[in-house]
Amino acid sequence: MPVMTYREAVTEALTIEMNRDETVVIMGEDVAGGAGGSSGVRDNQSGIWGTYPQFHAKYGENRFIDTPISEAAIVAAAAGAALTGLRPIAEIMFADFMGYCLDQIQNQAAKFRYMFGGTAETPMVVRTAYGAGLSAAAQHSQCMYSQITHIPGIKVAVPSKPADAKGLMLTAIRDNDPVIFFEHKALMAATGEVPEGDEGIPFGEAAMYREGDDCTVVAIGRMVHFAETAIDSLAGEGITCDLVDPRTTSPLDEETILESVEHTGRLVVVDESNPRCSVASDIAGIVASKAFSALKAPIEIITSAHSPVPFSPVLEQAYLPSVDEITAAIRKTQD
Amino acid sequence: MADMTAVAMPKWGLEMTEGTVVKVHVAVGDEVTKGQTIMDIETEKIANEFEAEASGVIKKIIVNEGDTKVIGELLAIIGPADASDADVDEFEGSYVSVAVGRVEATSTAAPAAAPAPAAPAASSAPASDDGSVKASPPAKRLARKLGVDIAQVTGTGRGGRISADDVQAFADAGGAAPAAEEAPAAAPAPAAGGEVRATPGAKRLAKELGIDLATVAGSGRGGRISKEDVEAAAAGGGGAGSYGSTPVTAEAAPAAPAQVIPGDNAVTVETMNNMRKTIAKRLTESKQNVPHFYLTVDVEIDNLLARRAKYNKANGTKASVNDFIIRAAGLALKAVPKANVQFHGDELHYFENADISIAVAIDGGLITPIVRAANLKSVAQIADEVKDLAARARENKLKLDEIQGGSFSISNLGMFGIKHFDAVINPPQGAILAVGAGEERLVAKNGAAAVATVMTVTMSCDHRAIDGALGAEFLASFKELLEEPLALVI
Amino acid sequence: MQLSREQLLQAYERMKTIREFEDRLHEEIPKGLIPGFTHLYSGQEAIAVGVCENLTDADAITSTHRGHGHCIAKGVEVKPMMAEIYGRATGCCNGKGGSMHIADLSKGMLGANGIVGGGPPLATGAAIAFRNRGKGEVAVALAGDGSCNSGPVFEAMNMAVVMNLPVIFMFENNGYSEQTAPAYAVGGGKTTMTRRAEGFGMPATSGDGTDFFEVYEKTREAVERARNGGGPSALEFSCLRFFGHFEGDPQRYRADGEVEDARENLDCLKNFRAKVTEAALLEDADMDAIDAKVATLIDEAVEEAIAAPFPEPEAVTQDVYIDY
Repeated sequence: MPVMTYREAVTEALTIEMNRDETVVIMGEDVAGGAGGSSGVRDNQSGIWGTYPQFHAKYGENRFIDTPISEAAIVAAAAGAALTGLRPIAEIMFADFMGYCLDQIQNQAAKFRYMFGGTAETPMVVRTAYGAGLSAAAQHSQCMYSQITHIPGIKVAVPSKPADAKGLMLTAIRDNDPVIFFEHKALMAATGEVPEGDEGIPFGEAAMYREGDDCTVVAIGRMVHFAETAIDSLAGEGITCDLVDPRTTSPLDEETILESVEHTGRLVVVDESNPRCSVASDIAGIVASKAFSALKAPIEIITSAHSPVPFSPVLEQAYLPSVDEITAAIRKTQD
Repeated sequence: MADMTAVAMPKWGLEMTEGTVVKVHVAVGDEVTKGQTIMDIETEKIANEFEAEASGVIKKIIVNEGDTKVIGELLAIIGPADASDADVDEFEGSYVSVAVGRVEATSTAAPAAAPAPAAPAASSAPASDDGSVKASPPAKRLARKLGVDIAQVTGTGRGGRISADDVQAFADAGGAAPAAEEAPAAAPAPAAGGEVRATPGAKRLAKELGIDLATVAGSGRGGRISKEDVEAAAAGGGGAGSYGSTPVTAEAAPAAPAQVIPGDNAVTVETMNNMRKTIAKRLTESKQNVPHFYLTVDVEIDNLLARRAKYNKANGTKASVNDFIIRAAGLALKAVPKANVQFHGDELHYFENADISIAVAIDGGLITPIVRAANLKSVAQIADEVKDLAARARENKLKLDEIQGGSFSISNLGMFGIKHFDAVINPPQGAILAVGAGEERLVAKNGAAAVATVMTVTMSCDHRAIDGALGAEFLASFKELLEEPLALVI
Repeated sequence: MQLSREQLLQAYERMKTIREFEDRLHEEIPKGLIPGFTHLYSGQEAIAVGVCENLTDADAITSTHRGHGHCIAKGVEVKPMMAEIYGRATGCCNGKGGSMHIADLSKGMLGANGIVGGGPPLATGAAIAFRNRGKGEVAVALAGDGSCNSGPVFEAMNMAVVMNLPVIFMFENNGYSEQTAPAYAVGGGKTTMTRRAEGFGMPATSGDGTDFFEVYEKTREAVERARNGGGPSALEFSCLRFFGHFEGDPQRYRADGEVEDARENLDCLKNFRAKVTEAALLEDADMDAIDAKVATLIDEAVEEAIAAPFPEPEAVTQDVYIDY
């Protein structure tokens, strides 16, 4: 199976769908770049994360659109275009900028189908880069998927691996509901095996990246990698874990999480979000209410600190969850 | 009874639940007109005048000044002067308030709590659906995918729980069923007790098709039956497959699998893209609805060719014969303005200037950008414009106002050696000119044989807008301009 | 225009300090000790300094992600700034904010802002506070051409007009917003922001952002107007940034030679020097002395920043709120 980076996997999915269906369009700030520049050269770096190589040349300005810096208008335009026959993929450069377009996500795109009595479809994708670890500081490092998961009418994908990035992106574009697609900026260069072909990964189906008997670890996004390291380090102590990666937080594969907790009796949730009203607290709540009798130890919840993301690398490290924290939490459930 | 109007407490604004009648301005027997203020009503926030909804006579006043009533409650009745008391009482008795109240936090009034908001994947019962196979859902999914009967796999997890690795190992050791028959091999039997797990859509479809759900194998989690499973069962076999296991053809996606028709002649089926579909639709509409008729003339173009050579040399331009044709058509439309027309149902629209559409062949189709006011532009300007429009047409960079409109089209197939053809009009334009190749032909001049370079042009006219004589007049002017081309370059 | 010798020297020193600070960062960043993103201001100094020379510590400015120049022009100390950019505990934000969030409220610098268009509404708010205090203080929003299409910016401008607030919107058109030129992204052609601002009902003017004197004088009029209760104004000044949008930007959108040409012909420091020496206001020697002084300052700032300690991990959860 081919091995490629997360960013290449995303590119592959985008390419497949842009080739397949001319109603798929991409719009965002500097997706090509260079518009109006004195060199006349378009495509400065294939998009801020390099996920659109040659897209401008291949797909032209009507389908690959550099926009002004106007997040609200970008997302609203995507929603309007989706209602009227296009399948737009709007890029919001950093998830932190969702403040500018939250109304358009929450009050417009999320609600059209419902408010219009099932007569509308909004097949749009908003892809955005999230996460801390690169010293991008407070306004360029947030997760934001917890707030968005809360919204009825929106689907949320948070792939952790290149194969998931490709498969979920294919599904996101083909899905007729609005999808917000969160890609961790520190995972862009991560490599992994990615199946060939154009098979999408369904939403609402978790992946189980480790299977074991002693503890269930549910991790989101980049935290899946942290959890893998933690879990693998415990094998020598004879502790084996299920590692559940929900892959989509909305819809959420509760069935897999609950079956796993039924089996192991213990739960550690790892989420890079801030602690209050996070996906972590949501999952913990679901398990506590639906599988209480299966639990043999209190649920351990690991999140980032309740603070903005600090700039200085030392502080940012302390802010984020760590592998050691996860290992310690798993051990604690075994007491 | 039909003439009676209920005067009920109005709902003003989002929050109002009740109002107090502060003053009543009318008495029983008064005649009121629609819009007349009949009461003053106050709420917590608003004090306002309440107007009569209809004209008539106040037949009854049910409220006293100072009373507080809930929105929708009856306050008075307006009716015809001759309505009897019995009529009024009947109306009052049968009056039902239609005001929609607020959602209050009362447990009796509230409908049953909405079902758990989780997505289709939610299950409130622990996940071991049928109780017999202890395996994680991802393991079950993998088993289905690989065609493994999960009941046969030995689980290495505690309590015999089957992991994905266990399934993979079993499959690798040759335990998979031969064909990827997903339905029977992998799906656990429907839950004991005869209750079939199926989506509402599946149930509806099964009922429609007369299929017994118990005979359908579900490919969803826990053997749950989806619509696709029912469709597959109806089609008589082949697993429906879980979402995404076959290339998805989303409604908008044009790609379809290639079909091979038995026989020796292989067929490639190409689904039309939007441009082709549009072209097909418009051309069909045109041919079906527009009464076409055709006028043909031959034009001798030796003078034109000579003029063109001189012009290009003098100006350093590379104007083509077609650029001259465009200018000639523009001037001819100015000279015969009734031919410069668009057909619009009951109206004919005549234009000041000649906006001429030029047919440009592009990848996979045809597009007609417009040279605006061709009558006002020099040949050189037209040449530049056409070059730019054609280039941008091929790059898909034309703007909407460059392809919408125009009253006349020119289609030139001369470069392909076509001698003569009849073009299809682009509605709402009145006409289109089909230009053939210029070729040396034998012609008769003053009774003797001669050779001339001759080009055949055919004008298709919409008979509703242009009749034969008018079309002929246009062509005569056009031909003259081309055969005596000085006017084209001045 | 009244500028004393001291003011001219200060203007030059501030512009030179910005230039040295930014050019030096450009050299230091590839070495890997500076975390995160940095956005450099070289080429735009005349705008920051031309504006801030009209302001006192009591006046406020808001800024963009490209805020080092604004900070220095407003009088923020260079050494704590450098330490902040290096993420050290001695930084002016204790290492919490970094390059994009650098601030010093004691100097009226309300912070660099990582959100495009985030500044102008804040400035409008400061202007409300100033209006209420009635001491003639003003707020200046320094914003880029990239913010010209941001809804909240227009909301801020309208609010400033209808409330007659002492706020000035200075749009720095530095040629590009990220990788896209205003010719593409800002509808209406040149000096669009001036005309948009006029459309909102405030006086607006434009000028050459490489000419300190023009910036200074036109800002002076706007500041005077605001101080005297005459309400908001807008200014639109053009220049060209010498570096990329961020350090590491391949800048393929710039024609060959564009930056060299800008450093030669659009250098506000060169322009300033030429003008003041020609008009015999200052001498080369005066400015050379400043050059030397600034070079030393920047050297020291870098050295001290590199040697400074990092913050302690406990600091992560400090200053989230006032009490904890």
